[in-house]
Amino acid sequence: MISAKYTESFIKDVYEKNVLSTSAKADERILTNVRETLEQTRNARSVTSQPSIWRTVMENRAAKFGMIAAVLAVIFGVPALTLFSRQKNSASDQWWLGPQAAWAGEITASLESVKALVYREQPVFVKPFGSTHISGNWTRCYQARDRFRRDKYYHDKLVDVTWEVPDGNDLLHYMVSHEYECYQEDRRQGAAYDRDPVEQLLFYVRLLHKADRILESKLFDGKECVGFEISAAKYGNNPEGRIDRIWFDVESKLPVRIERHGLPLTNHPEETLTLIQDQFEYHVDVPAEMFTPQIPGGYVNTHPDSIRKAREKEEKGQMFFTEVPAGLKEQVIAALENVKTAVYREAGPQTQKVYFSRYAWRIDVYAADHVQCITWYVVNKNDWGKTSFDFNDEGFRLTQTTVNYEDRAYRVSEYRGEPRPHHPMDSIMSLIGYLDRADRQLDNMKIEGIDCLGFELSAKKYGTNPDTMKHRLWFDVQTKLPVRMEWEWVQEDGSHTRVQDHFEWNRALPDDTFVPKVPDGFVKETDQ
Amino acid sequence: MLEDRLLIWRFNRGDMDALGRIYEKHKNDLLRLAAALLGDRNTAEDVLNDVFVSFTQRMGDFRLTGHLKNYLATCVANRARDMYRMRQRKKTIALDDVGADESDAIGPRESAIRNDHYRRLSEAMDQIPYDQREVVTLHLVSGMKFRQIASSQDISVNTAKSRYRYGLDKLRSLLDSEVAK
Repeated sequence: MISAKYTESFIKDVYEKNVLSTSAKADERILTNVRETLEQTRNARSVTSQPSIWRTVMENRAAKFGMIAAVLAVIFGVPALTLFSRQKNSASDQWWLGPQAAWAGEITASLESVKALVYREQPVFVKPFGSTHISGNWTRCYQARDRFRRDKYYHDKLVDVTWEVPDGNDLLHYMVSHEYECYQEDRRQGAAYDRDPVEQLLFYVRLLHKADRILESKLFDGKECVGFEISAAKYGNNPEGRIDRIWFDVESKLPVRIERHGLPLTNHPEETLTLIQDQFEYHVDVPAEMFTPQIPGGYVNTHPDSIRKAREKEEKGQMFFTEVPAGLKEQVIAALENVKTAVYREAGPQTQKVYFSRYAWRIDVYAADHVQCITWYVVNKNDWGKTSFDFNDEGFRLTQTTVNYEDRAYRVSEYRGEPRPHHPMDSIMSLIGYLDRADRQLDNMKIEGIDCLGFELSAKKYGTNPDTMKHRLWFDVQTKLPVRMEWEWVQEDGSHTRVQDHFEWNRALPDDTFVPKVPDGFVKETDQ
Repeated sequence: MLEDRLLIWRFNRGDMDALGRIYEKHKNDLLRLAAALLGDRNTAEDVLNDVFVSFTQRMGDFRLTGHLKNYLATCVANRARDMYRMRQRKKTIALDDVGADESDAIGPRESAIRNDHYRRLSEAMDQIPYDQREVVTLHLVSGMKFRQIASSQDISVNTAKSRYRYGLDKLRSLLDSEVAK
């Protein structure tokens, strides 16, 4: 066995003899960066030093204004008023417009002192026609240098808690499900020490020089924040539409909100996921016991999925699955995503005709052979960007105008967030999302002169739907677009069916299709 | 030490020549430290770049309380730790050979032996926990005292010493098994 002394001298010797020197290329790159940073820092210092000069001068306030104006005009050769107005919007007020090297360095320095980070994470599901669904599930995360805890809630109810704590070089992972009264534990070999509470934040700070745009400042948790938007393609092999947004508190310069848009969802190509991290707490003392796994007595050692499946089987009975052709669901979704406009009939308790474009839709309700009422839905928002941010866009408006021809009345409602009516394509897309879980394939048939393939899907396969609800879907063999969709359910008064058919995809619609028209003399209804 | 203070005084006034001199004086030692911590020359050069860019941003109000060399070594250790964690998370970056510069003064056999020693040591270093590797490297490569290491990492001196002891013991055992092969 070699001695400790020998090991020490061996290590020293190896590193001393192994002379390393920077390459000429590295020297050039580093010195160029340093030179640029020095220049930016010099400029930043000269800008940030101005307010203190100004404050000093202004100690004697307005009485001296005239004199100061004259002095400044002489000394600097600029009209004092110009300087004064510049002062109001100076780079010190909007530091993010100043040299990035200076403020990014400040943010990095303040983040590096953080010992533990507490934040909330919330998923939002986004559909291609702009609708969003903020999940009722959310998590509160407690992240320290070498350990982690995540409390998952469904609205106000604590559903499960996960701990990750180091044990030597290994990581112990515990999950306690309060919903299913069970727990799981496992050891992940060599996975310890691989978390850093602020690394992700620093990662974004370092990327800021690549930001595509600075967003309008807005309030989060009562704090004025400035946001940056970065295409995720700039730092990795990310799909088109993956965009990150990070918001900083204007005052503390610390991140207050991170939005990761366009994350793909396994098995649901018809929608994407946006993850929002907010409610950051930086300098909070997290008690050590928070990181100590606690397994309540009586909880069984098994995965919650096995209990959930057993319960579901008991409540909903046996599930049947057919073999759906590989890639069919994706083909249908791709075809639907290319749709610009559509018209179809919906026959149920009432007969309706639905018209839609991407950001507007209209529903005509018929009684016998005449139109009973028409409702127009028109979306307006400030930001018609690449992604659907309506949950985040203060300018988002959905205006609903309903004209009732029988009552000779009309009503106008405006929605600025949830709950609100959703685009008709949302329910179509949602259903297609479950196509690969169909119970059985129906016989091919001709509908409206089109060769179709069809599937039947039990609605109990999603949500809390009962065993008695079924969908039947038929698609054009050629275009893969829906031709007929049926909803069938049983109530106390018997069986009911709702049918969507007579689809006309990408039909050219008159310009005024989505312009509400209120006939003269109709009375405006109010909510009172 | 006096030269460093003078250089810092000039640097705080925005003197690029002083900054260039600081870089020239310390770059190779810092590169060696970063390479020892990360086992990858390219990432080590990135660390050096980031450290000097961050250091430059402190122009105007930088106050030197100890040795500049130790201060910069601490910055390298902090940045290397970030890089290491990022790499651990991504698990995609392969460790490159450090590829030490071959001196003209030594023959090919000596060079091969040195490279072999370096490889063995790098492999052994890679197998000990990063916290221990950091203390061992800062102490043996940068010559920092445990008190300085403890203060730079916000840990107690005893923690620094025990990390060193555990790290060295493990290295000894790993290098010993290499010798025995």
